[in-house]
Amino acid sequence: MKRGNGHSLPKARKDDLVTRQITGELLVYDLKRHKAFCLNNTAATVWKNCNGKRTVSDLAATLSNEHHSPADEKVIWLALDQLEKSYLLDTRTTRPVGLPPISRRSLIRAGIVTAVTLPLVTMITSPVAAQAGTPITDTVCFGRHQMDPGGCGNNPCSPPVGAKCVNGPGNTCKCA
Amino acid sequence: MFNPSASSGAGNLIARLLTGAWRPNPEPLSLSPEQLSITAPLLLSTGAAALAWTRLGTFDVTTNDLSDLREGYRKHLIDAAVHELEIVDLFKRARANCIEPILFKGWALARLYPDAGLRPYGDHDLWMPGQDLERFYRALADGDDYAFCVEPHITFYPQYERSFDDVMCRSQLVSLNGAQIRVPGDEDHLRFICLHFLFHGGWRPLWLCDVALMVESVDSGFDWDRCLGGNRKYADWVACVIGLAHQLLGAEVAGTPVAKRAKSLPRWLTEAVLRQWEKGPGMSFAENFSFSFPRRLLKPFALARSLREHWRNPIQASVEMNASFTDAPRALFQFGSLFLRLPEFFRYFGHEIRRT
Repeated sequence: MKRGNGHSLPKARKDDLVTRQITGELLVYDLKRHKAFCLNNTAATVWKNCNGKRTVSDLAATLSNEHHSPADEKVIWLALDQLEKSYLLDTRTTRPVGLPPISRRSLIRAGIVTAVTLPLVTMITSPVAAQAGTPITDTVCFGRHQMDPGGCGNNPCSPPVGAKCVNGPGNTCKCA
Repeated sequence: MFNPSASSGAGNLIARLLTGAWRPNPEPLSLSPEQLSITAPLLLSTGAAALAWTRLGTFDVTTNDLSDLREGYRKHLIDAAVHELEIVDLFKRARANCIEPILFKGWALARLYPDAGLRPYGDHDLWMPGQDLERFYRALADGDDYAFCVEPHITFYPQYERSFDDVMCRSQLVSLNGAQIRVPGDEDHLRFICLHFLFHGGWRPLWLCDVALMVESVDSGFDWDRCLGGNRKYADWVACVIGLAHQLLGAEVAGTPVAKRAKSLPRWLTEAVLRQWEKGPGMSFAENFSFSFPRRLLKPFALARSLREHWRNPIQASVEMNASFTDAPRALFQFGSLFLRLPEFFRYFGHEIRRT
């Protein structure tokens, strides 16, 4: 979607994503990249309202309405930057010429946002693999063959903890 | 009767933390930062982080350990959403090939929890007749690559004493995202998860939460004779696992036929579970001495560690030796299980030597 002056308007990606809303956060799983993200309230509000028709000022007004507090456009730009880096936008947003890079720190320092209202998109990484599949040793995994029924199986390896039995070189399987 | 709150140690702390954690509004619990730093890695590595979080989450997140548990909850929740898509896809593929599997554990249990993120599962255990297996693999290979973990089973432990047809007759269809997913009847499922807990040496506290949840969810129509039917020894095994859920996690068993047994478990059983929880992830029952012996020979420390890992805990040794759960010491069964696995070890060793 393009605005009259040729600038693209941000549009949230919808395909191949799974979402779950929890209190104060939106969890998003990218089925293509197999990555999960956690969007805080501010980032989630911006993302949900990116419909390819709203400008950055529209998004700031929407955020302001939904959160009952004034929202600066710089906050929207920061959110869009993070959403774009996480491949959660379909349309790349054209930044206005001369707009300096916006960092979280600069917004807090300028008093534009507090740490709570700062948009945040973080990748969800399990601190330790906590899969509930049947664990196997590296040798059992190594003994499997990609071409066997079931292939390498993707079972968690234990030990090493955190690894999975996946395809190795030349039809072999390995814990990695 | 054993009282986990009166003892110290990581196993006891985990038991305290998970007490009632499967209930909709579990009682909040406060642990010291030291206690948290001991238990958090164990909870994360055994998949019980989210459950623990429900009891600790009402407090401000001030430590890395609490943040890790919270992150575990997020991970489980979003993974569950993805797994649900996979399950629907699996049943669609199976049914398109005239296969009707039964889904055990995983989502079949997770759906009973108050929140989808509380009970993680990494693979999908499907039971199907042996003649359907090849067709099922072909169904999986059709079309897009599947990257998820499916574990088809054509048999279960003999001690389960249930045939596929028998379980199928009493199975139930449960709705998931508009699809009908076949899961076992509650009686057959409870029996299965109790045996599964024993055959894996009880290393995952989450499994005992599953048992506690199922026992507390049974309604007046639950057929205990069906659940405990068959060989009396195996019925006692099942009763002992329910007893563990009662003694270690506070599961309510009043009014059930296992209430009396639940109060008088052999001391070695509760101790073995707590010791295993303190150690973290354990060895699968199916694994004998399967590790790369020639490679480990060059690293004596790694060899010693591998051998130690393959020493069965009293629970696994007892089920492997088909022993009753009496008060008798378990060392004999542990040695017995070691000897029982020696032929397999030598067979595997020969294979490893040839391969190396």
